[in-house]
Amino acid sequence: MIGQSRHFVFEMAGMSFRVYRSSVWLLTLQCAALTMLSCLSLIQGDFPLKWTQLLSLLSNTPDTMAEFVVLDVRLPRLLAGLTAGAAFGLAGAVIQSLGGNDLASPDLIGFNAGAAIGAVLCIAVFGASGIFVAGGAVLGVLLTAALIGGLAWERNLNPNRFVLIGIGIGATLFALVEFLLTRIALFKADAAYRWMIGSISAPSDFEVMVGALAIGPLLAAAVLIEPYLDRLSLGVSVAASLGNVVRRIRIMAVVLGLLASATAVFIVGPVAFIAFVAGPVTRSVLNRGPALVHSSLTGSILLVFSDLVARTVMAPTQLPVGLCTALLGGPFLIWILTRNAKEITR
Amino acid sequence: MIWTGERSHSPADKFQGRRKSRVLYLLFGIFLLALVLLASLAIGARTIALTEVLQALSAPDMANPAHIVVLELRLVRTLTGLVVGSALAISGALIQTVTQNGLADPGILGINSGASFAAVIGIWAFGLGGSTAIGWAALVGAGMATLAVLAISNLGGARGNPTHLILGGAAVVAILGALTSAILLNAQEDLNTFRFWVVGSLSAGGSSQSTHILALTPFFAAGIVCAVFAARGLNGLILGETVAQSLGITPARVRLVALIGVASLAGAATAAAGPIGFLGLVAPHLARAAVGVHVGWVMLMGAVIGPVVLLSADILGRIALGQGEIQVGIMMAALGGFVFVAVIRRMRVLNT
Amino acid sequence: MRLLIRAFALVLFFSPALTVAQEFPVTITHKFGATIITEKPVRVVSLSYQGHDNFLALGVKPIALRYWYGSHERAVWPWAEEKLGDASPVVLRGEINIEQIAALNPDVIEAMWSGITKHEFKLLSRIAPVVPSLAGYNDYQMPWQEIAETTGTIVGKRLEAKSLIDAIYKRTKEIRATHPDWQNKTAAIAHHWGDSPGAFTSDDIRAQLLSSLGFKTPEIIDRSAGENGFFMSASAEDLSPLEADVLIWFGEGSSLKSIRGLPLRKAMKAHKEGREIFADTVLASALSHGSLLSLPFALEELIPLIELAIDGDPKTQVPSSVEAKIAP
Repeated sequence: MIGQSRHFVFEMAGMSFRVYRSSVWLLTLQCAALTMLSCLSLIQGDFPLKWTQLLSLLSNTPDTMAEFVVLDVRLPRLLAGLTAGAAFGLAGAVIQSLGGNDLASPDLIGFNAGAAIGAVLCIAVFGASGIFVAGGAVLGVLLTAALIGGLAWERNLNPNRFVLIGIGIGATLFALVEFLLTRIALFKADAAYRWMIGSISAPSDFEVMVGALAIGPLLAAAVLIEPYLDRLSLGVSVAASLGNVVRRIRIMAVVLGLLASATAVFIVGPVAFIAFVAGPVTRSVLNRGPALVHSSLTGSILLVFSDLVARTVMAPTQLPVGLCTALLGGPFLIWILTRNAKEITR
Repeated sequence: MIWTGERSHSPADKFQGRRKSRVLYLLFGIFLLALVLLASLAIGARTIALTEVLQALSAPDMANPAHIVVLELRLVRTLTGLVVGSALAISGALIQTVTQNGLADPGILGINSGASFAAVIGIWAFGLGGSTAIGWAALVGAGMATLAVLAISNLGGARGNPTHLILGGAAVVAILGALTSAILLNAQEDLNTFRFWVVGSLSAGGSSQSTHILALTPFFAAGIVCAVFAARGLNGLILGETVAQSLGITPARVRLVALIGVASLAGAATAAAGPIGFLGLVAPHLARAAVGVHVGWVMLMGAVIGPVVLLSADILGRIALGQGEIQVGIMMAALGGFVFVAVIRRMRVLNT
Repeated sequence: MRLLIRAFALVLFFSPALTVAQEFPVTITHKFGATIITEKPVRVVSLSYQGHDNFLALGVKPIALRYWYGSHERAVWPWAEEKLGDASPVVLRGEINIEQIAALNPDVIEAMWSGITKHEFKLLSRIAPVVPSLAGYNDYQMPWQEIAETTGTIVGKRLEAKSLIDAIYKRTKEIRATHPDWQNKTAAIAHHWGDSPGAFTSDDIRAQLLSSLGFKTPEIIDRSAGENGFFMSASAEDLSPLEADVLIWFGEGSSLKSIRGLPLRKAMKAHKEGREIFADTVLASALSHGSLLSLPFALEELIPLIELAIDGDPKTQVPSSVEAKIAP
């Protein structure tokens, strides 16, 4: 209602940022939710720990079993969920706002298919497991994105083309994955299948470290690019006033989305739906701009919550987290759809 | 939404002045189809001379293995390709028109996912094995998934809104995909059955394939009836909803009939051959390039061009490897991917 | 590098200790390094998909076992039911759950045929000594004899394990001796997955059991193996690669209907001469398990069937094929 009171401006390094009150509120709420979920993730699990054992972690003489379960099993898992969720959320929000279409999330436009073919090739041809599969997946994402970008290039990076070609390439690659799965021994097919659903049940130290190191720079880049992306999304005429910058922003945005996707896939595999849902859900609350940082926090919340559900709902049998993201994300999307059509379809 | 199917014709162009060239294109398509049908009978893992193929058709000798191959394997396989190709092409044309989106595919109605999910349930819970039995489960699944997508897209305020349809489809696809995975993850043996079904094949039924196709005939027929009934209304809808209403068309009813057509055609096709992607997407584009955007013509041309594409892919898959075959679903995706990318690269409509 | 040298030194140091009567502690070197089991384990967790069979054969009931496939209540197949007695171990399903295993408080974790990653190995090792596949073997590639023998080493019953392995060898030798007519005949194990028939190559564990009876895998099957080397796929249009003196159809899952639906099968020599054997789900699974319990079971089931099939006389019908309605 009163324009000025809804946001305040601060300047840094020659750039001015407009910060809305609703953004701050949402950020606070998200951080609170994440803190709560994190605590729950550390406390809750199949190994029964007493409160005294838990509290001993804060003392000088920690209980060895509690140390193992909380610090070596649950904590890496939590960190992987937080960082990969954030990276997925960010990747989705960036690519969606670039394409101006909520269907243009990286999991739908071929990035996940690229990851899958990279990983399955590693499993099928080299008999790889663990970190090497993840590495193959990242290579797959990068090569696929390069292929899509190359095919979509026409004096400029055309976002619509990028999205459409991505969908086409993705479908083709997934068919190749399915073909490979029929040509390899059943155990390898099973391993590949598991990997493609995505899991953070036992992330390696290296995966956790990559996540922790990458997420900061990714979020910083998101903060920097957000205002430009916002202006681009306002339409061609406004974008044109930016002139030559448009191309550079688009390329930077694609690269950012790509790196975020690759990071997330490296940590948890091609988990479905987080990238797709985080952006639209966040914007349906915030109702403004690309909301990159908020979307990535939403991604974290979704992934950590899904993992919590994945390991408790059928305990002691654990479900892969990718299963829960889809089972929770799907109905959530339906609920949003039925509740309010306009906000999500934009 | 991105409507990529049409070039920038004015509405009047779309319906007039092309009748003659359309007929020519259709005849050419039928000629191609005849060639492909013959090739499909003649080419395969076993080398059989064309004369022997013709002999098998005219004077069958069931003691001759070559004749058994032609009559019991290739003929059935070819007919399956013909029916499935036509069905997928028609359903693709319908769904693209209903959603006004040239990139729509029966898959977005959740048909493939619903079929896959039901197939897995069938394999896992009821121990189904033969592709015929899996096919029936798949048909039920396809129908249920479509119903769910329709229900969801109609829940909100905007009834039958195409964007709603796509998002609802995406949600259902994701949920069903997850449930499918959930079952397969705990059942390695079922994964084995599933991984060979999901790649799609025109010959999975072996000698029972022909009865399977026959049993599915009512669904194909019902789908075609729906398509014919919806065609006029859909042509009206291309001109815009208000124009359509002034022509006495009820958009919601037309869309519903068309979607029922899509579900029964694509569902039956999936039941017959497993999930085959891209054909429903690519065939209408090829048809439109030949005969313009008139829905009836696109469906007619698609019904001819669909089997041509599908059987060509199948034939390539038979000879691509020295030993063994590449399933038609895979070949279709590989070829379809190229066509798809080429189509998009040619389009100027997308410039922003 | 240094780790490698150290591991190597460990092998040199401990391998003599392994060949004499077994005492704890034992050290087992494997693809992730070396594992020391300090005392005879009581609480055993078996993470290999068929590992419980070997433990049960040695009279050790694991406290937890891994579900592979099938719909058996305690996740063990018929050949192991009796040995399990009235015990009902925890059945581990789905992903490996570190916390669940930690809560079981095991003394040792066997994982030679489980596909665990190096990181999972490290985590599990914090709970108890873990034995993954031995050095030189990728996931699921360790031969059954080595799995069985190492299983024995783990529970301090290596000699018993060896004698059980030897008993299987002895039995196959016996079969070879009493069936001179089997020697150098061909045997194919065929399957029907999806839309195409195929067969296991001589690298596959199931074909290897037949080769221990004197049979050879038809050369064409080995020549046309796919990317993985364990199986080849043929075309329904040409079943000649599957022709053999004994043709065993793998009826796992429910591919029986597809096998019946192969129009050219009736034209096969193997069919006309009654050389086909139908291996039902249990027999197929026994062959696939490759354990100290499943292999003797599979052998005894197979021998009478092979005897009826190999004579090339359609009149001596193979009961399993008659039951499956694929007999001539």
